[in-house]
Amino acid sequence: MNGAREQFRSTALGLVFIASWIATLEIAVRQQWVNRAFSPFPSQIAGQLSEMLGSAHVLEPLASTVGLLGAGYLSACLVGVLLGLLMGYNRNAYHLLEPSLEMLRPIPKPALLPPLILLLGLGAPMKIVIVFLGAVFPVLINTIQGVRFADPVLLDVARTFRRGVLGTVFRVILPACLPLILAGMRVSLGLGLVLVVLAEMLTGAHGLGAQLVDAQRAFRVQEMYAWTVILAGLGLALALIFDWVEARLIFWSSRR
Amino acid sequence: MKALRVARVLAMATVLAMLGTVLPSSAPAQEKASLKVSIIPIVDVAPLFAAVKEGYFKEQGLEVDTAPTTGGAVGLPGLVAGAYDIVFTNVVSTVQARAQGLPVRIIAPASAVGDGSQGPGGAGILVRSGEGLKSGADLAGKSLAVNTQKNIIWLYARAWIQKAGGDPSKVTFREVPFPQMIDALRGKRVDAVFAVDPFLTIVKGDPGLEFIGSPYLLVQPKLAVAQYVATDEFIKKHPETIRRFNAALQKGIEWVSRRLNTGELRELLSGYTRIKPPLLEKMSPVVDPPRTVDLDSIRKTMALMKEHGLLASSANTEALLAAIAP
Repeated sequence: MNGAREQFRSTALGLVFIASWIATLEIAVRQQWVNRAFSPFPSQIAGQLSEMLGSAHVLEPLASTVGLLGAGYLSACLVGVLLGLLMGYNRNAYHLLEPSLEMLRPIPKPALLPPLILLLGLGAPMKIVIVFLGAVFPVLINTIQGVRFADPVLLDVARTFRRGVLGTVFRVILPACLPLILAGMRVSLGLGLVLVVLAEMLTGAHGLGAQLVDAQRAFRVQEMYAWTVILAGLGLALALIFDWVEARLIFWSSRR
Repeated sequence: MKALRVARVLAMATVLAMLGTVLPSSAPAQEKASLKVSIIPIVDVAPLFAAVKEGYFKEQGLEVDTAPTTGGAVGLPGLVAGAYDIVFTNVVSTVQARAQGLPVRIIAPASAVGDGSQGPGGAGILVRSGEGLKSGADLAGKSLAVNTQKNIIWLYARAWIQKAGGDPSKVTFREVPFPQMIDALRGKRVDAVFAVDPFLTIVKGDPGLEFIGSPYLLVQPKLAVAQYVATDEFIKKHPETIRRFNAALQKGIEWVSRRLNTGELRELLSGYTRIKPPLLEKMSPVVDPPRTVDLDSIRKTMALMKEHGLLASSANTEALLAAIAP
């Protein structure tokens, strides 16, 4: 019965904490405990932020980053799920591909940036590929795991109803693995965002990462922090959207 | 800027890690015996290394510890945060830092571009042969690679395009680290590159590539490219240290100046740049290091910065100049 009050209390606690450390930061900078040259007052950053959000100055880099992330991420999810279903279901496919994938997977994806720049140049294709490479593995691995540990009862039911291979895989196994697959996709989303911003920072032309680095190099410190806040906001927005989609897709699964 | 750039990711992490606290100090002015100097390991800092090697700093009671970075954008924040005492940085970064309120000031000259009498120098524009690109005006609609956008190289490339009658806004500038520029050019990912030594020298004699000009020399011969910079507070607290640093540095400058084309200088250079002496021999002759800070050159650079949007058009350049002058 105290659901609503509990909810309010738990959210309020977190918000109060955030407000208190922002206030502490403001005081710290005003009192010069922190070097003022590099830490503008939070109030100044807020001012800069509202100025930027008002103009269209934010839309173009934002659209560029989100577009590249979307292209890389969605293709990674598609390939990850399809390949994962194949490898999970078919032993031969698994043994064929697993060693190669196990070689690629541990490579920290930022380390792939210099070779990719050399091979694909500095534009959109390189950025989409790096996002793809980073995002595909969590999805792939989770899908494989999900398929291999699929409930045997479900498989028996499918056989009873005389579902063919494709029917079994797509109508029975896939929905059953969806919670695990979505968990992998959530990790991939975060990773993809990191990689696209990193690629933009290193090849500085368009996108949020490029704007951030540009402000840093010209010592426009307030603007630099404002871009950081925008990036944080983007990450938060993506996470919330993902939550919403996940809740609709796996409405039957209870969460911890 | 003649600079070898290492992974920028490392530079970013360094900057973020440098945001340390500077507590107001109430200690009386004490002179420092040991100095942390941030540098880029290129030809321009030869006088500093000469002064270290020949013991000129030790004569003045100073111990100089050099730390390599990728340049002003990293060194200057480190300077203000207290990680370095003195920073070698290009003039554009210094002016921009001061314009944004960072309390930095030049304390000594470092390097200048030549006057063209000894050839095209160690920086310039390369294109693929046979494509008909001969001057800045021909670059309209094409792409030019610079190591980072909106820095001193970018600025002088734009000025060079303008001087040749072209329109810099019609040229696409792409960011490519120096070591990867030749590959990008050969691989047709860019149409022209503003490259520096040693990469320029490495491809000398390649019939597929053509050198079409040196922006620095055409736009502003004897441009004072880089200086040594310290914070206002450091200068105020350690005036004697600064004087001694300068005295030793001047001796280092003389040492280099007297050995401009010798094996002895090349040995010093290869020691800290890691470029092998045979390659150094083929590179453009070392420019005589300047003895004083050329304020007029800085004034010209500031005017260019205003023209190309690196400095607010309302900025008071004379006040800025006074603020950064030694």
